[in-house]
Amino acid sequence: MKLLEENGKMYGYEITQKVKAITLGELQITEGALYPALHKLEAEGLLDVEVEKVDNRLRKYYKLTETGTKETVNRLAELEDFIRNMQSLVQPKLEY
Amino acid sequence: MKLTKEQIQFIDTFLIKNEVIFVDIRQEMLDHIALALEEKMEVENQDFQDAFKDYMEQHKKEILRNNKTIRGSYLDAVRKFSLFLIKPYMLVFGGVLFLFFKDINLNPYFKDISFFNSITLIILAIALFQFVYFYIYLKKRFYFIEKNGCVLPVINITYCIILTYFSPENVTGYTFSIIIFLLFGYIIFFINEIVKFNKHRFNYI
Repeated sequence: MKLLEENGKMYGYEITQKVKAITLGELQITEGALYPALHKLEAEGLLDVEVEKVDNRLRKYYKLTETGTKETVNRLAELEDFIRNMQSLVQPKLEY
Repeated sequence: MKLTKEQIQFIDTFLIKNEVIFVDIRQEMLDHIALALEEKMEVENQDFQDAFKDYMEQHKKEILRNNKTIRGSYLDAVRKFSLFLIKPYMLVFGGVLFLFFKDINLNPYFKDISFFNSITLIILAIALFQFVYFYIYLKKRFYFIEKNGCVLPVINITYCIILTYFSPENVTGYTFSIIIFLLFGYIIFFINEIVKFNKHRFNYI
């Protein structure tokens, strides 16, 4: 969702490649995980789709809806909190 | 390196043979595979056949797992319908229904079996319309629109549960409003989905 917020509209393969590039190949999203997740977000009204003909085939682009844009901010804030809490647990600052 | 029409057709045939039945899902998978193959052919300097063979050896399971997951994810449609029902205008519609039915004594109507059957008939008529629309009018199968069909049995089961729980003699304006709200809510929801689907449909056909 953050990628879509930054890039406007993206298609599935583009998302997998972008994630791979950002994480220097550490994280690879598989087809079996990506598309069901995108379809679920679409069903929740967080994503909208556009279909365009490109190179003799159809390409499905995903973009955030207005609700999706708001939800991205909320989910990112939740994720940051979660990461902060995890860091506190893994590396507790011990004070004596 | 861009794939030719014949190579794209080859991938499409491969997906059909592997039971990727929905046109919209198949097109999305096809584009994904085609992009991966184009990159592979360019970077690794392979021809189409070798690139396809290599790619499928590594990714076939994942690609087809995607298809299996989609078949089992009809709950998305129920979730989508539930979210639709809590939209402000639907809540207003529900409120108006309740105000309309709350002072009407509905029990005599429900004692009459033909009234009870007429609601079942409305559900069956919607189901028949969907069947004709999916299989006769569209001719091709589309996941985007077809998955919504599974909401109807859920409404039918809810209707049966409500009537069993309250019994036809004790149907109130409240329970009847719920039934009508779900039924008409679904009709509006389905029309809404057809309108959205038609924005993209002509790309596929």
